[in-house]
Amino acid sequence: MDPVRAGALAQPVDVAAQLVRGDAPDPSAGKSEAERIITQEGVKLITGTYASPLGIAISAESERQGVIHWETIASADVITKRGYKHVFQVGPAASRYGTAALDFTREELAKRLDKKPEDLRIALLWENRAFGAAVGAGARARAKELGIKLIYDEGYDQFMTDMTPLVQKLKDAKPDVLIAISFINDTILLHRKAKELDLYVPAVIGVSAGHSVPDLKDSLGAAVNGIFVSDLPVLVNPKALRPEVQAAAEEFNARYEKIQHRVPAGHAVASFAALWPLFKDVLPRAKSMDPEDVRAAALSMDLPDGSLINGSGLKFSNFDLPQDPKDAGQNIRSAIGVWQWQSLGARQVYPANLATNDVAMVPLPEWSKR
Amino acid sequence: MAAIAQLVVSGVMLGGIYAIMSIGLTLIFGVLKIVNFAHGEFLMLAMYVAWAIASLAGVNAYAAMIFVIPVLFGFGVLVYLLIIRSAVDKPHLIVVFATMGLSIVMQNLALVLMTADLRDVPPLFGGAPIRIGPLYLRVELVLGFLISVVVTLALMVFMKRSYLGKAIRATVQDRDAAMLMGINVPRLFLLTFAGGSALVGLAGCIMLPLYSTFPTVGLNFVLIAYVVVVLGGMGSMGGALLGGMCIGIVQSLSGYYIAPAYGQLFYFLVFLLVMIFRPDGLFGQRGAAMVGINE
Repeated sequence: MDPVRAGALAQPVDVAAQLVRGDAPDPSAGKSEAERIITQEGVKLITGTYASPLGIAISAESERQGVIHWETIASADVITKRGYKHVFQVGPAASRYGTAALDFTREELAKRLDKKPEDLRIALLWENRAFGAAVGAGARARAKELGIKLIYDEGYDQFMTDMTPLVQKLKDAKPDVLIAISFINDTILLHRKAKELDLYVPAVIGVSAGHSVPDLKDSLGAAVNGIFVSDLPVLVNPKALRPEVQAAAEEFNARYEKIQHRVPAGHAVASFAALWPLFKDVLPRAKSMDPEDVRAAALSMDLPDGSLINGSGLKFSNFDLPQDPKDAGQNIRSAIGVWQWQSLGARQVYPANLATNDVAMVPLPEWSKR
Repeated sequence: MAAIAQLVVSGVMLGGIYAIMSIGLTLIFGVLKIVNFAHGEFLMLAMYVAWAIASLAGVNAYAAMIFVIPVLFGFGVLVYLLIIRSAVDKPHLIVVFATMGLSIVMQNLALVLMTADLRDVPPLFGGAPIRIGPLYLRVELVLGFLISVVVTLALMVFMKRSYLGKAIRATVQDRDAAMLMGINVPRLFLLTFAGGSALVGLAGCIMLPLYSTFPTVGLNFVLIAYVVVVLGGMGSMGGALLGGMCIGIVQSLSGYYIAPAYGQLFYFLVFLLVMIFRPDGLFGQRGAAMVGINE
């Protein structure tokens, strides 16, 4: 166990905590491990689950045991909709990834594809577990609100070993825009099969997860360029950040690159962005590490947009959202946007206030020219 | 029409790949009468070794076979001597737990040593497909299919014609009688297990250009391998080839015409129906599971 003075970036704060590590590869193991570290190690706050199924299971156990679950990047909407009082989700809910993809399509892609938004042929492909289903639901709902028809809307098993049926169906559907929610292995298989069967789609928006990790570039090479990713923002326009946050962002990026030898992806930025205010603002404000005191401190947060390094602010719902009275613990100021794989790397292109670069490569070149 | 043709041809080609990754399993099952629950992890190891050689030596994964097959043969010898030899005559559950334990150890070792990052090799000819009329086929898929068919047929001939093949079949039919005829059965078991493992090495080299490798990659394929082996008729090599193609086509067509979300559901449904109506597998002989290697 390492004593940590977390948040110790530019300005160390006086929060002494002990870090207890728990490992779990799947939800049931996660639940058992959460129970162990709470009951045997006396842990008061759990954080660091990275996938929705883990986040759902572990946050349920945290709530049952009355300790705080501080979610960083697991995003299934259900995480904050179960009436729990000790679960806080700093990143955006999964459905907002889908919403952002649709908004981006309407505002930025339609004009570049020379079509009215309602005339666009949009295909929605989603892996059928917690994350994919939740993002798919968000995209579907937004499409309905905007009066955009989805010409193809289908879930698939992420462990599929052959993407031929999916790609063949997409070839039949002839979409202008493909919105794909997938994990890394299926993302690679999908694009390789698209190339093999010559499936041409003028614009592709992947949704976080498999489309956002560096492995994709390693696998697809230059063919990755041009693909959009609806995701947690990566490197946002510094003007969108408050001055002290700009400095933190620069230091985080420098330290990350020094350790990992590559620029951080959206998940890495979001994980830091979620923990930084916990140690910098929430815990110092809490009267004690008692979960009720930490909860009160978290609920008192009211940081404007641009307070976290990915452009987010911090204010949690507490059964008080008119459109969703069951929601509690969701950061209603979490930032979401779209970045693009460009030859220089991942570049934020949407929304305008966070963007660092212009949208490029729309429509995408044919496979033979990529 | 073009879509159906594409789906069927892709399904058949993929079936060939499924067959080659299952043949080692069926060989070991047919002769030693044990199920290797670490089969998927043997495949993972083969893919990692192929990746390492391809990356370090700058050769393609097919050329890496020259190294990967002996490495997996050696690994098979090691596993046989350390784990299988003492478990082979004991109740089935001992082998089940022993190989399952090996599977967990291998997965976790891979995670520690190689991390969860995906590893793959660049496509041949820049990934451009072969185009035949309306059909598109990836070069690596066609190559994998051809190698798979040739190796399966060669193995069938080997089993029928060669001295070692005859000795294997004799041992399968009656182990005691084979011993009395002077066949060194323990050595034959060792050779079969290592040979089965070497075949997984071959499969790894064929699959690496098609799939990325990572510590749990075996889990994606091992269930298919079990289904192929049982569907084809346990211990039958020709059956594995036809069983693989059957699974490939069912997967392809059900994914297109019904729903890609339920791909596994349909081939398991076919599997269940075959088990109910032809318990010895589609292409197996009656009692094949007891007798072992089929013709």
